[in-house]
Amino acid sequence: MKRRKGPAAPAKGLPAAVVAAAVAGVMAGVMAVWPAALPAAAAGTAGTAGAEPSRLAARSLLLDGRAFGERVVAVGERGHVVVSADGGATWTQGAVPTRFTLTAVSFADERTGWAVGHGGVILRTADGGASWTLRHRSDGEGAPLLDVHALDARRVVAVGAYGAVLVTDDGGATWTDVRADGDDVHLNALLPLRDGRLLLVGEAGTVRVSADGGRRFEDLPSPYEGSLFGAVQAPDGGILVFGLRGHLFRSDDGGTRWRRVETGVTASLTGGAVRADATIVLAGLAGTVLTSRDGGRSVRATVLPDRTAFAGVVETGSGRLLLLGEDGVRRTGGEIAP
Amino acid sequence: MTRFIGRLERLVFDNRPLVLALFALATLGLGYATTLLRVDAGFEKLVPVRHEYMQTYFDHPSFGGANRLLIALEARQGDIFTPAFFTALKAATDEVHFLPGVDRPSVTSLFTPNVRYTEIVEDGFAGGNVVPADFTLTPEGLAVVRDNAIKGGHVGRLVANDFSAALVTAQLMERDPETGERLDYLKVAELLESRIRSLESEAVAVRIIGFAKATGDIAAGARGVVMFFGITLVISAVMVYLFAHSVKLALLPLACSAVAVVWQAGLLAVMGFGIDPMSILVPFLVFAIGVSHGVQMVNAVGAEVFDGKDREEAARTAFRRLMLPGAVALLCDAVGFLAVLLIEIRIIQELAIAASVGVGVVIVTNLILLPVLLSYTPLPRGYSDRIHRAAAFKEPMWRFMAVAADRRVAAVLLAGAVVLAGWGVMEGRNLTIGDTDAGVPELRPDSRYNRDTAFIVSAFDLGVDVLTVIVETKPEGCVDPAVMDTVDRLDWRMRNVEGVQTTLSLPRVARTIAAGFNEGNPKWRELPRSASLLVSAVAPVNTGTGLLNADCSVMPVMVFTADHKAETITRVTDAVKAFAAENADAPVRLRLATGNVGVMAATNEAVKSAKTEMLVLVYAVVAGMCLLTFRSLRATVCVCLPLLLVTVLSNAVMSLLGIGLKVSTLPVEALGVGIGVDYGIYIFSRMQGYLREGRPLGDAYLQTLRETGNAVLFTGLTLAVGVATWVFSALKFQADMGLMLGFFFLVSMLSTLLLTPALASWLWPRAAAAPACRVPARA
Repeated sequence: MKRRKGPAAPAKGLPAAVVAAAVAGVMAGVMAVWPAALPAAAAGTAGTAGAEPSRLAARSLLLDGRAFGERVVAVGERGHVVVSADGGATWTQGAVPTRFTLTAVSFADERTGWAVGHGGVILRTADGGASWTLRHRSDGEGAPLLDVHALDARRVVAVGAYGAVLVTDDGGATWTDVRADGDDVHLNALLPLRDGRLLLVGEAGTVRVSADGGRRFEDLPSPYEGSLFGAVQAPDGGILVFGLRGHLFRSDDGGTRWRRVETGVTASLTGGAVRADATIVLAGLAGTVLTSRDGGRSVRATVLPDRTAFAGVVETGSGRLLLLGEDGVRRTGGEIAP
Repeated sequence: MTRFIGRLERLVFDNRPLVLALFALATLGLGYATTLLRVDAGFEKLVPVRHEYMQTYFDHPSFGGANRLLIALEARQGDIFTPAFFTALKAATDEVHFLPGVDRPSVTSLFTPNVRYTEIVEDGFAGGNVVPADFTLTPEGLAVVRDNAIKGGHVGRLVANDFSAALVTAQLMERDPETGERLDYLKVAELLESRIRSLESEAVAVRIIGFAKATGDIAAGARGVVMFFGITLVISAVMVYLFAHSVKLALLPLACSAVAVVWQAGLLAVMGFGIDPMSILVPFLVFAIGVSHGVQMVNAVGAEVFDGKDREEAARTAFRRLMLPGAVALLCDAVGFLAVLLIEIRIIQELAIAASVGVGVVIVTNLILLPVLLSYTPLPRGYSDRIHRAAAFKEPMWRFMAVAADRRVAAVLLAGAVVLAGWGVMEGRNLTIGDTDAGVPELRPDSRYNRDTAFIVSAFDLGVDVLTVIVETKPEGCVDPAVMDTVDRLDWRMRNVEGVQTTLSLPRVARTIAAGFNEGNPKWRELPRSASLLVSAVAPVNTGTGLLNADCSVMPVMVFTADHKAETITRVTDAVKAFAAENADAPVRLRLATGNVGVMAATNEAVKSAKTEMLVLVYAVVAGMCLLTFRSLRATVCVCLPLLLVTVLSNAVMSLLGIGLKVSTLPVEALGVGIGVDYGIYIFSRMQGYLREGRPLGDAYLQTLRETGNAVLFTGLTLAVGVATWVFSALKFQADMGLMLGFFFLVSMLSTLLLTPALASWLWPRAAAAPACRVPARA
């Protein structure tokens, strides 16, 4: 069990010291103020109320996105789904029946798509993201689902915290929990490989692969004991997995052997995309952006000066690059500055 | 009334030596009392303490934030990572600890132990102080600090985004928690200059902002008032000399007005009031009003001498003639000023009391002391020749102006006035409430303080304009998902309000911490929905962050705004009220509002709500006094309507000049009416006298102009020029007040001189229609 709920600090005298990099200035000096008595847990209303239409939805925390030509759909905190028809220049907010943070989105075709998030919610759209219906949510605390992949309009795989793997064969009418017995690692990301298999990466160096559309995953050798947050497949077929503290690994043999790629950064890498011109772009925390023109054998690191946290990368049909993260959508001309 | 004044005249003039002795004694005594006056400035005086928002402010002092001290050290060249800079930063941090009133645990800089960094490693967290215990002033040591500051997320907060500056911040306590003693802000401001600004060197610039510093700078600006007093004195002296044609006659009203100022200051000291930057302007006003009434007196005495009376008889006659209108006019002023008391902001109320006392004193000094002194003053030889020449010189002007009493001309004038009033009402609608300039509105935009503010705001991700909504709930409310969800939604709703730059609240931080417990993965940045998970997400946040109180029953939502324009503030407060209404059944109480913008919101609302009430009261008083004096509704209309036009126009002018309605300009509206009515009363009482003699209106007005109009015109110009010099004051509010007072002095004079006869021509049709048997000027 690697879930760190309490202090597991190697440095002494750090009770509950947390990275809250964005707020450290405010909450400098961490000191435990554990409440003496806890009131009975009241359920929040995040699940029952819909996302609030907000002027700044496209500038809130966005975690994942997909593009079809110049049409872009991105999902994020507070049940925000934002849709752009012009490559990210302007955005409208989709109608979403939940305020839980949505962590991932995947489309079977331009109109039919799926989004997953906290509270175990799974949403479906049939109109390209404008409106969504709730197809699943878990009871109780509702551990988050962290990624989703639509194999086609009927077959969908969702993965999440504590080893959760949910599959449907009927377009979301019924969901089957197919998690491995006793598995409690967080499953962070899915990647469909070109050979038809489905790659899965997660906590504690987890790398797995499924040949049957996500019902059964098999372990692949792990390159690293730390968490992996994402994966991309290079144009030459090489597989790249990346995660905690700037770690990036490449495999040329479908995931059997891994080679570490030096990134020169210690910020965690959270998302990536392969561009139409075969360039690979990976993004991460603290303004980190990596680019590679050789299929990920070597990378060039850029740290954007405002050190914003990124979570996803999307390229539009015209080659415009969108970085998704804590400040919403960042639109770049194509090249990452500077 | 006439009998009473006659008796008063005999009482005063039959005992002239005794009267003078009493005045001398009183002046000595009150002069001594002025030495007891203390400059007295405090935050609580500047705000409407009884306003709902201010109650929130005082109920939750630790979340106010208005009393924060920010000191930025700026590296003049390169970045901050040099031994010289860090030596200065260490010294500044130490000095701040020893300032009076500083809440020591709140002191924050790279050097304080509450500034830490943490980072995620494969098996948990690692971290420590940003400046480690083994810190050395070497390039290596400085590189470690730089790394730690970046890791800890202190860039933009304690270190400038471009690494060119670093901050030291601290919270000041207005009252000593042990002794309960009020903090002496001026002392703090002085120490900030002597201990911290003095760290400035070729390598390091020091920039200081915060309420204590602003107070000090405002007080320093107020000291410049002495110079303005001098300028006003000189200008008045020159103008009075030009008017009186005699040094002796010029000196007397000036001296009597100076006596009035001494009495006013002395009386305030005796009453236990201090002087603050705003009421320090009152002496000018009192002096100017004194001069204006003094000139009427000199004018009247001169006219009597002119008619061949000896000087004592002339003084007695002038006394009899002016006592009533003068006293009524001054009482009007005094009571009008008291209407300002309706604004429940202490600094304004003290201004009102000081001004009322001042004009009350003028009744005694310039309506009694001055004529007594004049009765002793031999008029210089050739004086009447000089008067003659001046009168002959001005005669064409009076004849020209007297046309205003002609009904046809009057019709045109009145139509013009109606058009102007219409324009004034339209334009006046754009009048803004509150302040629009960035930084501290009392000081000029280019003052050192406001330049320091601009630097700090641009170098750091800091908002200096913050409105804090206080969320009150049950103890341990921050681990109740329903409470936290409400606060979280309020935070997001506020962030979406136009004009809001960013927001900060406990749920927002809890989201980030929740992700921190999950290796910093942004996908985990969600507000936990169960009590047990909330515990871990809020536990690392201590009360020093200002995001919660000790038992977690109070959580502020800080709303940082792009500016403090009234419309921005209203948008934010309206949004909070709307949210509170929608969430009436949530287990929280939302309270507006603290933070500096919260205070401004309260002040704006107090000013706005007091405005109408205050003006209605002032006009009621003025109209009542006119009715009482003239026993005529028509007379009251003649005096008051021209003033109303000026009030309407003043709003339009303020809107055109971008001067907002605020603590400093609102009292001016009341003062302006009070002063404007003087003109009307002097003019009308004289004109009414002639009308009662059965003279046609045209003649009555011409004669009034020759006698009183002369003094009115002169007074308006003198007062306007005197206060116009304030425009050069270091204090923005003094400049604004000067501009508006000048406007009132000048425009109400013109309005009275032109519109009062014009109105009269239509209200007294018979007198206006009577054949003009123009009396020649008394030549």
